[in-house]
Amino acid sequence: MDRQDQTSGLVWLGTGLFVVTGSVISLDIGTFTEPGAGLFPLIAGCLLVFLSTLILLKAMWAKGVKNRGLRDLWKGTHWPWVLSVTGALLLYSFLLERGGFVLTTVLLLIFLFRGKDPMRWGLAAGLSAGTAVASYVLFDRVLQVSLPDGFLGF
Amino acid sequence: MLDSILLGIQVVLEPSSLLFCFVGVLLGTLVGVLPGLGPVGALSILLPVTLYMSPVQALIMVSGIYYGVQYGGSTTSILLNIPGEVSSIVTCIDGYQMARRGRAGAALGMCAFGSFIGGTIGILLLMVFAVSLVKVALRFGPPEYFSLMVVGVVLLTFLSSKSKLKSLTMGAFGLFLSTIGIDPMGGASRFTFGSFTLMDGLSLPPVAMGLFGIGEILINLERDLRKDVFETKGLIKTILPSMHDWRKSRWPIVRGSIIGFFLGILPGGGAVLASFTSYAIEKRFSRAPEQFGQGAIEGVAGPETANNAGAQGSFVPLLAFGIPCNVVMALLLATFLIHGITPGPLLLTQKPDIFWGLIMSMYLGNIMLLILNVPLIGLWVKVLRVPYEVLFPYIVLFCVIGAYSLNSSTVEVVIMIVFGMLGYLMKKFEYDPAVLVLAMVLGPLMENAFRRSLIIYQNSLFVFLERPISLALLAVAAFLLLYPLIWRRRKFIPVESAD
Repeated sequence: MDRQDQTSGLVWLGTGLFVVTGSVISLDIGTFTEPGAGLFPLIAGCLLVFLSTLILLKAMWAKGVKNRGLRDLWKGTHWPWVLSVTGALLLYSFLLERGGFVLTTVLLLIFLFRGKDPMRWGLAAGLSAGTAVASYVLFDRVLQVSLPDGFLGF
Repeated sequence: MLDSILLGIQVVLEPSSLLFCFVGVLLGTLVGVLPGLGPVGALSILLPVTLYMSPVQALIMVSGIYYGVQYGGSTTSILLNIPGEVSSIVTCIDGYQMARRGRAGAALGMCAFGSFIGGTIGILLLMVFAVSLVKVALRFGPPEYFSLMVVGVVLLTFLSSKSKLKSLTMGAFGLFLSTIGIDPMGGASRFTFGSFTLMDGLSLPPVAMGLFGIGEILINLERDLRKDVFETKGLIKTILPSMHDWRKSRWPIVRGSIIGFFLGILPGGGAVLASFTSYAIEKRFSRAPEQFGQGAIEGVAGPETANNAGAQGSFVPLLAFGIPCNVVMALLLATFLIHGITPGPLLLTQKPDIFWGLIMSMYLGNIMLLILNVPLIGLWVKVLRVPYEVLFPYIVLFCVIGAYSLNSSTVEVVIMIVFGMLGYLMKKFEYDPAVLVLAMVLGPLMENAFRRSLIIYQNSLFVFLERPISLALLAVAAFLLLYPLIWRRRKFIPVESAD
């Protein structure tokens, strides 16, 4: 039994069933001579269901392969840091338009620089501030990309 | 043809084109040098910036990045034994051994010259084949286009190093993702959940940046990355290969150019497949195959030539048919579309300045790369010494800016982060994100061709089997799908993906 493939197979099977159900219920499938908006998603969903079922069956009957548990994927890795970075990015996207580009970017960069192998506070703060300001000037002012201003106005 | 070439030269010699060609190849070399950031991640980040350029400038820069990456990737392969790009993996085998024997300069020099020759020959062949295939493409109708794209997705799956079944699953998922948004034919809202952002569909840049940029970063953060970089003092004095090196490398370079170009045309091919195949062939043809793996210069010259020729070859399907054959070309297609240009058989007649300007810029770009790579090796080595813990925040920052700038919306940033997490999990569970992205790009084109075929020919699904070219293409796809079952062999053939 290959738990890794079993898990991923179940996820894709669920996704495929969601797509098929959504296509049939919410969209017009049409016919093969007058295809509707739902036909192509339905075909994609059916393919997803079929292929994920094969993955599941293969995972259940895997021979000569040692049992691969889910925990094996993260053994000996710095997964808490990965989770932290992901959480920080999501928080950053939530605060970006409220706090403005420069302030939120400084905070994010300090967090990232100080993360796994901590940089000295002074260096991290200086590098973060310099990078955020330089990026703002380059993208917002020179390239006219329009970054969020926030309550500070930049 | 001569008038067209002169038109292209005229376009390229404009100061703005020269500038963006230089910026593209410089950025491409830098991206190639930096492990952890591939051409797809870099192109995804820069795609929104191209909105502020003219179409010619954007295409010249983006193309320059792609073939520039092939030059840069060899530097880390030789000096660190870490491939900067997937297409430079084989260069590690003999290039690093040459460096250990004090011949890093000759290895780097041969990479630069071989890449230049491969790129130049590739461009010549591109000019011939792209123009010839345009005439073939004009005879294609919707059923043929649909079948060709099916072959493209299946072939990419076939060539993927991951499980074929998992790659096909990613293809199906990519096709579904491409349907999110407003149906272009009927106007119905599909899987948008009332979101205004999703009504425009999923933009490619945040998805690609997420899967290949953020996802790659998250995978790298899990591990401890250590680097030992060779000292390069005095290296530049010995950068030119010797006459003996040239004698040993001349036929690998010729073979690499031709093999690389034709392999580059294949869906899923490009530089990666070309470099691996070239190495295998050179080892097979060598009079001293036992020297491969010990510092044989043929093992560097052939693959590096092939990967540049392959990079040029991969432009052929896009320019002739409007169909990308790998993820990088998919992003180039996105660049075309963002600027309101549809690549394909009509590009040559409707926008000859763009078609020929792009091709001529490749000559110029290859010359710039040859000039850049020799004196800048010291600089690239300094860049390599920067710890990844300092580099990755900058990559994250550029990804965020790139995603936000698309629509001045944090929703695109969130989409990028979500796909970043997905990309991370996909790598953990051994799924290939390249197939997902290619299917997502081809999805709208496939659906359009599929539905038009059914409506126009009113013959249900038989229309794809009744037309000879379409039938032949579908037969190829079926063969590729059944081949692993028939022969029960799995060979590692790398595919052009994100790295």
